[in-house]
Amino acid sequence: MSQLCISKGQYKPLKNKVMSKRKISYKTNGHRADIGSYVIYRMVSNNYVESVGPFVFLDHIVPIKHSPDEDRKVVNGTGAHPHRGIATLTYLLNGEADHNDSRGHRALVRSGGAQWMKAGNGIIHDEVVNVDPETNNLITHGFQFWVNLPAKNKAELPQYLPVQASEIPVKKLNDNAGWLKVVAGEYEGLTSKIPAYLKQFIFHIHLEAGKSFTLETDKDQEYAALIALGKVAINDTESVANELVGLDNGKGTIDIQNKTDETADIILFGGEPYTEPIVAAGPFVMNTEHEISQAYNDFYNGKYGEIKYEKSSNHK
Amino acid sequence: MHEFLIKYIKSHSTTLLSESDIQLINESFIPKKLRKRQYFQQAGEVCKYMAFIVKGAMRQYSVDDKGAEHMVRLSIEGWWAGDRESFTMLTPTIYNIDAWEESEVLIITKADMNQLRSIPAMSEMASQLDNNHAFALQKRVHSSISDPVEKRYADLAKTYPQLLERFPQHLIASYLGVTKETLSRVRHNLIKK
Repeated sequence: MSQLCISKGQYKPLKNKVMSKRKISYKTNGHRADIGSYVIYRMVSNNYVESVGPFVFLDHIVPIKHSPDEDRKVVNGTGAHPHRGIATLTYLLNGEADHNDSRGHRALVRSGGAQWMKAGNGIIHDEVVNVDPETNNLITHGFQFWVNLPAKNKAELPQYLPVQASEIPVKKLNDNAGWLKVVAGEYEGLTSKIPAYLKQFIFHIHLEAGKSFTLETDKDQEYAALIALGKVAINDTESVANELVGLDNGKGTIDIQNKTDETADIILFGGEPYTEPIVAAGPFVMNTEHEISQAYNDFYNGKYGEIKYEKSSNHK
Repeated sequence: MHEFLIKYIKSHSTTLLSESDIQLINESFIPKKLRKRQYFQQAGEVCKYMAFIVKGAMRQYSVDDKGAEHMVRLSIEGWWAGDRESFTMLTPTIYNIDAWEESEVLIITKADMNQLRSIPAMSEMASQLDNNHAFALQKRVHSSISDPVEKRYADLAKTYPQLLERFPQHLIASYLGVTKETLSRVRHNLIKK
């Protein structure tokens, strides 16, 4: 075990050692939580856990093929809403996300990219996802996480960071097994640009047909895997697309096997558990009920600012 | 005005309200008067308040592209009015809410409602209302998808006769998802029986 180095969320693959596997704690399809015309499955929280590491929320915006005639959604205020106390982290497999917020950030993030919006002490954002005009597949498919911020970071000013696909580090796996993208956290020396306050990671693992991938875990971190596409066995438990598999706490590896003749995509995520009190209501995640009331009152009093809506040509 | 609200809370909870509880409730709910047809909420706004109706009647509805109104909720004394989703999530509402009659209501923000949850009776009441709401919605959805309009009207007349007395036929028709001509025929056939 001494040759394995696990610190600050850095992982190294297992070599020549048979390790026990983490047990599967639960498997769930989440529940439907559509917003407007988006077909969404709420994966976290679920019937089994309130959070995985610092992630208190995960929406799977399931893959939809759109008609080429479909009107593009626009950022026009009908979807605007505030957040406080969290960072939203959106990762797009397919599509184009248009982000606009009350701190003046405006960006388009395309297929394979991600965006991180730290709400801090309060922000209003408005976002839509359309098909990516730079690809031909007419598909939208993505994930939105809410990262719960430690108390001291909840009081900080908001920040926004778009990360295009080319900026996400990617590691080719051994044995032509596929690749791993570091959407958040670190893997084998590759580090995501997205800031973290607690240890956190989001890995997009693309597994070729008949291939497998094994990860040694940190016993102090929590883990879950969302099957985005395809079918795999995680620690010998068969799982299909749109299933979330939760791993038990403690030591052990996570072994993902693609026994099919098609590729599979898995979003493996987790991190250090959040240990401060969690009080959530609507779009706010704070530490006390009083802070929740304060969050609502600050919104009513206009303290989160206003979004200035501009035409698409002004995007960065 | 607040006495009616306090009675309502007591009827929906088992825990006693102390004098300081009652004082906090009274301070949190603000009286408001609405003229007939005055908007309480308009589509596109964020719902800052929920209203408890002390006197009067209110309606919650959407308006489609052709200008037709679709009644989601009809409320009278002792009922609540407001878009809970917009109230909680702070997203713009798609509904209009207005007073069908001159009304006196008590309004409260989510921030203040949150603070009141520290009062056990308020927490109990909220839980009971959530359950009642879920049960009623389930019945209404099931009825909408499986019952003929004759049964749906008869059930409404049996369960909420006050709504038929306080709201005109065209609003009841909208609430049931039918035209006023269809409802007129249904009522005519019921009388004939």
